[in-house]
Amino acid sequence: MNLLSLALGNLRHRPARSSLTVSAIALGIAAVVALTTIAWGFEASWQKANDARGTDLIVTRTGSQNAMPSPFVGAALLDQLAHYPHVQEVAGLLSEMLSIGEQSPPIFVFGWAYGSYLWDHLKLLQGRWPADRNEPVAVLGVLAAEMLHKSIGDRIELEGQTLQVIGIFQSSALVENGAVLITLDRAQSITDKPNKVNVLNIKMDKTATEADASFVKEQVSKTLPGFAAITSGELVSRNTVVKIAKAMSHVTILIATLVGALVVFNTMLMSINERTREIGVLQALGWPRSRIMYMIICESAMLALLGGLIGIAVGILLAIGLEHTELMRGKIDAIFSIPFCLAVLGLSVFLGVGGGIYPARMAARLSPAQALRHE
Amino acid sequence: MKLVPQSAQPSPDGATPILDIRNVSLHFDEGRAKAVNGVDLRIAEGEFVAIDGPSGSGKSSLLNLIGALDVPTCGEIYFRGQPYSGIADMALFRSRHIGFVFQTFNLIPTLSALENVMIPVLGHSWSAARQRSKAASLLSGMGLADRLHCFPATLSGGERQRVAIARSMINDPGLILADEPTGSLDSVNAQQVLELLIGSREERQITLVMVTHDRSISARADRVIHMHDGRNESLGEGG
Amino acid sequence: MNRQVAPLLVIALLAGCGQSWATDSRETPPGLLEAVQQARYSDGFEVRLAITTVDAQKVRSPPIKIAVIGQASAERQRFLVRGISPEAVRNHYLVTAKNAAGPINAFEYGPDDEGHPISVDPFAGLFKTDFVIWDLFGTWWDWPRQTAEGLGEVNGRRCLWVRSRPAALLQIKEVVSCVDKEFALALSTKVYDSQNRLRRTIRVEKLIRKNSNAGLMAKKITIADERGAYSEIDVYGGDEQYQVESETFGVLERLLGKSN
Repeated sequence: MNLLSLALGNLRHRPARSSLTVSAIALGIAAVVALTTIAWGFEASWQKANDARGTDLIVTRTGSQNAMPSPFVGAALLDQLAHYPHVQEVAGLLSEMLSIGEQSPPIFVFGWAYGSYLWDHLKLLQGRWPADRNEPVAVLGVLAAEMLHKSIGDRIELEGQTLQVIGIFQSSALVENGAVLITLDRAQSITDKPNKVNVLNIKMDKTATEADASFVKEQVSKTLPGFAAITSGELVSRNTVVKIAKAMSHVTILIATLVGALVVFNTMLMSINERTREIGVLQALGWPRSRIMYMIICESAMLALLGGLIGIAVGILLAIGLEHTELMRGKIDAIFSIPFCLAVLGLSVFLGVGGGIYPARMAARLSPAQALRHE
Repeated sequence: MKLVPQSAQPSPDGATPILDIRNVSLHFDEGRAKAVNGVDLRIAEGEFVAIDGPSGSGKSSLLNLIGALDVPTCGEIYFRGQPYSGIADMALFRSRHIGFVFQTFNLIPTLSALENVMIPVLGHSWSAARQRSKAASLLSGMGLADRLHCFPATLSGGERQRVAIARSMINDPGLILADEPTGSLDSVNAQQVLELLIGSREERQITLVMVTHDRSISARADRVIHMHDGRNESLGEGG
Repeated sequence: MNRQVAPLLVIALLAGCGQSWATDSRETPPGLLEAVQQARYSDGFEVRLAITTVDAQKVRSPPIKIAVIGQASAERQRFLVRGISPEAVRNHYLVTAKNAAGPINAFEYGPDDEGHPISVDPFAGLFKTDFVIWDLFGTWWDWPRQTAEGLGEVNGRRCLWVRSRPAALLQIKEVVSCVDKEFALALSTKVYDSQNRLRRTIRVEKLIRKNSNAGLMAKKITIADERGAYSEIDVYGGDEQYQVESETFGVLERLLGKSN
């Protein structure tokens, strides 16, 4: 027998209360895990999309905080950017979130400059690519095809225009697999944004260094007022949706921590109240205050640890479930990492210990004679 | 912990008493209630002292003071010459030198009989095996060899009190304090428990201070202290 | 993600132009009405709206998608509304304009009859929805009698109730709006007719940040009529800096040129 088995025995002796406490902690931790993995996954799936395309820098309007920055006329800028050293290619992109048909939830529609490098990383599974910049056709990501129940030869309606599906592709980025891909010119026509793009993607040549990329960034901020060249990571981290998702996950962490600690606090306080006499006996039998405190904190940490483990499992299932809902499919790619799970576990143990400290101190401060008289 | 005699006075026979209680009082409510009121008492090593008296006379309060569970309002208690007020870690002191037996057994319900006996030595430097074998041998000595892994709820009252006696002895204490140890038992079990307690005490040369209402138990003590209104009156030898 | 879509219906709903405001014991805070006017000025914007009507029995119609292109200044406001889907409204147009002190002119034409537009009543609902052309112009902000009616709250946001009354008796007798002072945005607008009946209540249900970061705009609006039916308007796309070409309002220009 040791203190841990003693603490475990105390928890098992009160199964209803222990399981209720564990459930409350598990719920909080599950919310933390689900929201945080989704917030990170959202960020990562966007960054992955940019990385997969081979984009080194992205030129957007400054101050754009939304997922897809505000559109601007790209042609003049494109010419200027193409002349910077080590810039291999500049490609315009227009992105919208549109519903296809009346009932389906909105889906990403990407308009990519015809013939640009952006298309190169995609793997065509069926059909063909658009034959020219104006062909009224669409290629679908493998997930988008599945969600829309469309195959080669079918037609889709985008903002009143009918496009024929001519290809199905696969990408390493989830966001692209869940998207409809059309040429930039077609996207501009459909959305009535002639000559406009959301971003200009810059691909540097193979000899380009970090310094070359920084030079381009610098030149853009000096010579193109109102625009900035940033990396995909910077773009994504400025995104309002990412910011909101992250803020929500932070608030959830805070609330879950407070609630978890309060639940543990309450449970341990009740438990100590019930066990006053028992604590008096332990004191009489020579247990020092420190060992009594340690036992109570062990109990609360065990409750929180178990709650944390269950919460992580439930949170992961919740996030996977959310990923597969019709509304979210192809838009998020929840990330579960072992360090994150360990950190969450650490958080739950922290709140357990935090919630247990005061009750433990109370227990340790009991006068043995008074505790023994307690009925 | 080494106890170095400081100012304890030797008993008439010249030996240092295990307990030397000098003018000890325990007051509550700012002195309005006097649970113990100026008790003077010496108890020799190996002595069996019974404390009796009516309810509220201060028997249990005196036992708590002796067991260092309460701090006297005034006066001093010496254990083998060492004043309680000079002992820094009372919990450690209790775990090394004192064993307790309570009327209501006070076993931990979530622990087996064996584990209950091991509680006082849990923090000691003993190995787990030593803790276990000592506890098992004590329980066997109490006739509970086949009940080691039973939980208190499954034990009879007599069995529980035998576990409690084994627990009080695991740390080889010099002093066992028993507060009406047979008070919750039927006469057969009470007799059995008493025999075990007295027998163990004789075998191990342990000093036993027992609070009891039972005249037949008092009769077996070396000495009976009668408490009345918080004061003690020695009634001389019991048996 | 179409958050870059910017301009909003509310910009249009808050249309107004410079006039002197009648003083009143419950005067509106100085600058508020000017801010409301300023907020809707634009060299060009486009909003794409999905309008779903929900009848009194809570039955939802399939959404009607329209694009509204607009220009607004102190002197002139004009809008082009184009039907996107379903097929029945596709490439059906409505063009409408109003000069500072002039009346609202509105014309409708289909995909094949550009040469034969018909004049329409600006108080009628667009494509059989509760979306009324007259509301686009926010004419009531020009009315001379504007009184502050105390603080209120719409969807959890604090706002100031403002009662607007025209100088002469019109088809609409009174408009009461609750204006978010920080963003000069009407969060709720109640329109009363000459019989003092509440004709419709326009409420901003959801807000998003403008892409230009210059404040908030409506993402979702409801227009409820007096019978309990309502329309939900979702701003799903658009362009805060739409490039208005000379042909964008070509038909309107020709029509107004003719009528002048």
